[in-house]
Amino acid sequence: MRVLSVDIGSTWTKGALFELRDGGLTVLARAQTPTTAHLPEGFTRVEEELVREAGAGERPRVVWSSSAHGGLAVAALGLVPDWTLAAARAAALSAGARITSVFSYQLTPRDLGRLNAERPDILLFSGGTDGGNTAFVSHNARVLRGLSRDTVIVYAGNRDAAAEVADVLGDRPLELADNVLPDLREPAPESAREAIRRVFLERIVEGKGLSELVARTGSAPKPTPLAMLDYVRALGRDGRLGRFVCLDLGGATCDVYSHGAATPEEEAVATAGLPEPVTKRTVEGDLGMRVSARPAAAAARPWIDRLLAARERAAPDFEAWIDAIHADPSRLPADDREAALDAVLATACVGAAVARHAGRIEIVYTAHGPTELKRGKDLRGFQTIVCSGGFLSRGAEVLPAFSVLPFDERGRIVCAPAGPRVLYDREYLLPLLANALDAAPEAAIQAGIGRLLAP
Amino acid sequence: MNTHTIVLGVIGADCHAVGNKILEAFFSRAGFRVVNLGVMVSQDEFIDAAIETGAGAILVSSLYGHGEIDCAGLRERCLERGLDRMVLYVGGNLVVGKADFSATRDKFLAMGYDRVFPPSVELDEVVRLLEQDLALKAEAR
Repeated sequence: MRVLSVDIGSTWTKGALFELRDGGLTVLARAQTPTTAHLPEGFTRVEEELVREAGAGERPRVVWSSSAHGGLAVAALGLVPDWTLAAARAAALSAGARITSVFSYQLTPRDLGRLNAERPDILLFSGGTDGGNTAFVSHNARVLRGLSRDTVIVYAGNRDAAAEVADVLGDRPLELADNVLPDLREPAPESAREAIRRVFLERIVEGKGLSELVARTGSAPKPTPLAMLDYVRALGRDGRLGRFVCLDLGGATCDVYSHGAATPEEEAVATAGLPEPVTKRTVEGDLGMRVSARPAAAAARPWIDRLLAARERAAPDFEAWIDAIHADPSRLPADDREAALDAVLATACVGAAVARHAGRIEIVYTAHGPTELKRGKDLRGFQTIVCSGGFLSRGAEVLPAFSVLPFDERGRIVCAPAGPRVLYDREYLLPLLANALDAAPEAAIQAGIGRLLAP
Repeated sequence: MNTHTIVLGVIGADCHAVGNKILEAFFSRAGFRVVNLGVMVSQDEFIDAAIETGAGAILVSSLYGHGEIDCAGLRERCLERGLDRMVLYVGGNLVVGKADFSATRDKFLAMGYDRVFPPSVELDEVVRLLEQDLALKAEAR
């Protein structure tokens, strides 16, 4: 069987043609082209080039993903920031969304104005545990009657308020899902994730100009980050990577995926906040190598300063490089000096993105002496880093990202990986293999791990 | 507000976990929906959990002698964050040493707690008082 995999990114449309034989996947051809305003054009160009390169053969099964036109834009609304809002955010991220904004407690007219200006594809509306608070949800549902019909509301809050929400908002685009936080100790993102996926397929695909491709290929797309998250989960089940972190650093964003559960020793430390998912994704819209170079230079400043000092590079040179790539995002390093400056930016982006993904340990002084209090996901014992994306996959030096800044701005320990091995997705195949996961699960997993572990 | 949902936890940097488990088991058996936050719980975590679960009461434990510092201001914080009818209980070894309990009780009542209990209290009695206090607050609405 042949599998044709295409990923439509915001800048590049990439594709590969795989052959599935004797349970293994081999790459017959690779192609990429700049993403076109009318998305099917670039898609067709890649498809034709792949078939031309590979030679005629059987008709391939087409699998594809898209993050074009801003990806899947979701705003999240919860009650308390650390509880239902955190659970709603995590559910949206795990559905492959880009979070546009977040709101808690009572939605104000000003918040509504902001939502209507941003026009996210979806508003994920949560609040209250099952049997918990309904007053805030009830108020917010009434305010949301003023929401633009371009935004689909997915309600995933207190079950007791679902009927009222359906009454108040039933005359507009609305999907009902199970509560993302039915109980404080048990986040349940699955139903909301499924509702988001359904909305993406039924309504958003059309708006992004993808329905033509659905009709032609006979298959529905996944949001690119969702395809990657599913693939990371599948790679994790294989076991050979151990507990691992997968980094995808692009021009505009940095996606961080992690897979692994806490060990009994790690669980013995006192923890606060929501329990962490085994497979977790975060995405940073201000950490990127080109379009987001300027915000990244500001947000990752502590890492940049230390890395420049360690590598004896002058700060003014670095600022000049940021100005140059900001002015021309297609600019690539022309010599070793520029390559070194670009490498500093990449390592700094990784440092800041992983620090946001990772949890924190605070030393609390108690009557029994100093005690550790942990919040968030502890990555210190994670054994492997997988580097994907154009800027990391060719062999970027990422390890200093985890060691130059062991404490955050409040003096807490950042739970970043302590001494991992680094594996590279040298051919930048992981997103394309991720698309092939549903068509050939075992072969897609083996091909990915085989390439990562190849000497 | 749910008069059968209560939030439970050990406040501050206190790691005494055993009594907390006993309280959870006891109040659950008495018919309450118990939201147990465990040990080392901050004032804001108690309040966050009470808002989200719509709880009617917060039961604070403190065993390590720093109760006075940890518990002060919880009532004011509840009011500030919109919980104007919350039933607040506190119990445990609330101060260091062998202070007279009635003095300790007065101190914590003045802080705004509705009831203050020594470690020796019979839990059946606490359940009886809690049901009564929750019913009163519900009526007052």
